[in-house]
Amino acid sequence: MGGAPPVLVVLAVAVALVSLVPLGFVLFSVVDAGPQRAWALIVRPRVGALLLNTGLLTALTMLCSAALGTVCAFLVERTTLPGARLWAPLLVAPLAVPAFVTSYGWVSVLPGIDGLGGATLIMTLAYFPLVYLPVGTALRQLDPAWEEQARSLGQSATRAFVTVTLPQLRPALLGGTLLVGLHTLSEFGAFQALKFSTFTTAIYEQFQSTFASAAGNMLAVVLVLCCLVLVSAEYGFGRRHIARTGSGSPRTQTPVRLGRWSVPAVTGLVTVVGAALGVPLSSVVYWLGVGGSTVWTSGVVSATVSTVQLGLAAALVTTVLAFPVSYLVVRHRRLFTVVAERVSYVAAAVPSLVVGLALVTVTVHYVKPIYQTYATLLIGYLLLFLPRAMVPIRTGLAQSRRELEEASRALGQSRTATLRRVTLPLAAPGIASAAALVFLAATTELTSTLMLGPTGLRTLATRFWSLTGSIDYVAAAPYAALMIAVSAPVTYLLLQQSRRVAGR
Amino acid sequence: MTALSVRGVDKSFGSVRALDDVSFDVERGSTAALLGPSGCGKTTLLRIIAGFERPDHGSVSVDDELVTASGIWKRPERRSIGYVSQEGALFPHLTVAGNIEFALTRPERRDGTRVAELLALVSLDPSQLTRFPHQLSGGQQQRVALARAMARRPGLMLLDEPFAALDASLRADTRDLMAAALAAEKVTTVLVTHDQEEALSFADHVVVLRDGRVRQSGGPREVYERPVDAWTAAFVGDAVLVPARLQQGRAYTALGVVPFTGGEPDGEGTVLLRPEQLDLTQFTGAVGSEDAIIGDVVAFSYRGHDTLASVTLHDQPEVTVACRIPGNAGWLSTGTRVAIRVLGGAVVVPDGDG
Repeated sequence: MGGAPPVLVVLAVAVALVSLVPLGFVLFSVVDAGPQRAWALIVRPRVGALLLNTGLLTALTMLCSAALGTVCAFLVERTTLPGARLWAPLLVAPLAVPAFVTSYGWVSVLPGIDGLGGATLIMTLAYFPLVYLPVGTALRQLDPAWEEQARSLGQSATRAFVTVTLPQLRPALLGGTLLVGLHTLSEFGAFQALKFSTFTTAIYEQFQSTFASAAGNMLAVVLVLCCLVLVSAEYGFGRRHIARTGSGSPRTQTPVRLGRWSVPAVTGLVTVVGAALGVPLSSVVYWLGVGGSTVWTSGVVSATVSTVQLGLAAALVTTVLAFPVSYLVVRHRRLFTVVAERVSYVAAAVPSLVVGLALVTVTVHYVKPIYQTYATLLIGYLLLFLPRAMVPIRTGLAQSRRELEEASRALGQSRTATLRRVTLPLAAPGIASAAALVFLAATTELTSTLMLGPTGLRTLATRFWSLTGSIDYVAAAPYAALMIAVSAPVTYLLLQQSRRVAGR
Repeated sequence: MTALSVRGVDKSFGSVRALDDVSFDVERGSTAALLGPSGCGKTTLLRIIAGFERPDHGSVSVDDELVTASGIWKRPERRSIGYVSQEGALFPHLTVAGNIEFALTRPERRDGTRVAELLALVSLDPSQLTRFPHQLSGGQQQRVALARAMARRPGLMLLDEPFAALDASLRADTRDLMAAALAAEKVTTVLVTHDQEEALSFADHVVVLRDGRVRQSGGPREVYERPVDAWTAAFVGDAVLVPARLQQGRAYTALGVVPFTGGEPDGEGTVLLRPEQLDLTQFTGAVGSEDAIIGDVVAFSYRGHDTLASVTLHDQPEVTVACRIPGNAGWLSTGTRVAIRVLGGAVVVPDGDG
């Protein structure tokens, strides 16, 4: 119906162009260093060692998270596990604990934990819910008719699961595992306490000593390449459309009887939740107890206030700017809208450290007035959290089908009136949950806040980071507690989002 | 006076030709049906009339005013056209009252008489006003959608298969009720449907579409009794198409000699008979003993109000015809030998798909 509203097109294009800044920076820094110097800086033992460290960590974390997430999802969704309703939120809740708080919790309990093993353990515990959530959703959605059909064709229950169910979980499993990989590649804060070197920690060291140096930039190039390899791998293998034949809602599945396996299953889940949630929470509580009332300083209050302010600003900016692209992709699906959307997804695969590096370099050289200001920080948040906002907005917009908008037009309402009276009210829950997700992500964002924020900006995350850096675990505890408290609702939002996607 | 005039409308989606030089008129106050199989372009045509799509060529006039033509474009909200889609498209965030009032002005809303009128028009109880769409049955939803579309008193109402999603039992009732409501308000109506029975019973004028082209346009009786080609004949109803030799107004066929209308020249051709024109009686005599067309029942389906039987002719086993027998025809089963008598006349139709 007519063309796309020009204001939205302009905004969408602008956002897509800004999203390209980090990738542009990476390309530019290779060109700037010159091919020979770039080659010399990339092909050296130090980079090799970092690549081995980072690669092993990422691969192990992806593998462990995929296994753990799938097993948990199967137990919760498909078996007679006692208290299944309770387990779902408990298995999502680790996402509300920032990885650097999980690492702080474990180091407090086991001071000797470090190296590859420790890093893998902590990354897996922090991020396995990213696999659990989509796989759980996929398992819930599956029509039991397929498995029944396989059984009636003479396959055993196990074989039916392997040959019929697992292939259908593939998109969810690969998608979730990719996210774990991207998070691990861009993780930074958690490795400080673990004394484990990856690309991110090395780039940050370079950044602190020599600002934006060619050596640091080349490390960023390799890191971004790793991320793009992951994204394209998922794109190549994971996006097979699973068509549902026939209509009507699938019947509910008959759960697998656990029987004598109930006790080991429950024990296993208790261990997982204890490790991912119990350890960090009890460490925080322990250190709070040690510190007593003296740790609740005015610094805590002011950090909380500025964190909340920053989170609100990020939520507002990101949601408003995520709307045009989302709207155009849903309502005016053309080549350029799809490209604009993909660009922002790919751009968000760039680690926050590289986004920080890119924005620092660009602002220092070309837009000095906004260097180290809230404006730059908010642009950084926008690039990092755009897809997080776009997913729920798109889901919300899908509630308002095109026929509803056409019905409104046929009832004499203009395009603007239709947007106001039909589209926005229907998309409101999605928009609200987008804003909430961005707010929560921004409140615990460490890396880009450290690099882009104005001098003297103290948020919960940066204060926590600098205090744990000087091993002042007691003083760090209130910041950790507040971050967890602020992030707790994320559990509910993510669960709800996965159910809504399932309802489509 | 024409309420709607479509002239030479073309529309392609990529390489797919959805509409090809479509023209037809609808008289004010009358009811037209766009009838065709799925994918024939009928919904696209409706959306072009409503202003949701632009044609590549051609024009649309409503009440003798051009609303779509080259260089002319009236936005959908400025056209006085009501639109009811297949599933009603009720706004899920609004109650029944909110939906019906959607297009009313503030004073009209406050006054409330228009809403009451509309409710009465579609026979809905005022107690339904506070309900949300998901709390209504499919038939009720469609009635609310019609009331909502009538609120602004459009001169033209477009119905896009509005009964297709309803249960068979509800479909006829909802259709009759909506037809009565539209007639009471004297609204010119265009109904899109793939159901020939619905088109024939609902409309004063039927436009048969196939592959984006108008095959035939005329009154329901004309379309059913004098289809322009074999495809249309078979699409608007069960058809018995038999080869014939035409001579001086009589068709010599395997079913005997049948008079035909139309005045085609003598020669070879195909004639159309409807299954209800073939009267069957049980035949017990010896073959050849009487001057009758004899056949054997090879299949039959009992459908309550009538029975449909396939009969293979004794003299020409390659010819099998469909016959409709009113009632339960309990004497009939597979293998029954029958005598066939043709009632009424035949129609000559061009061969094949035309």
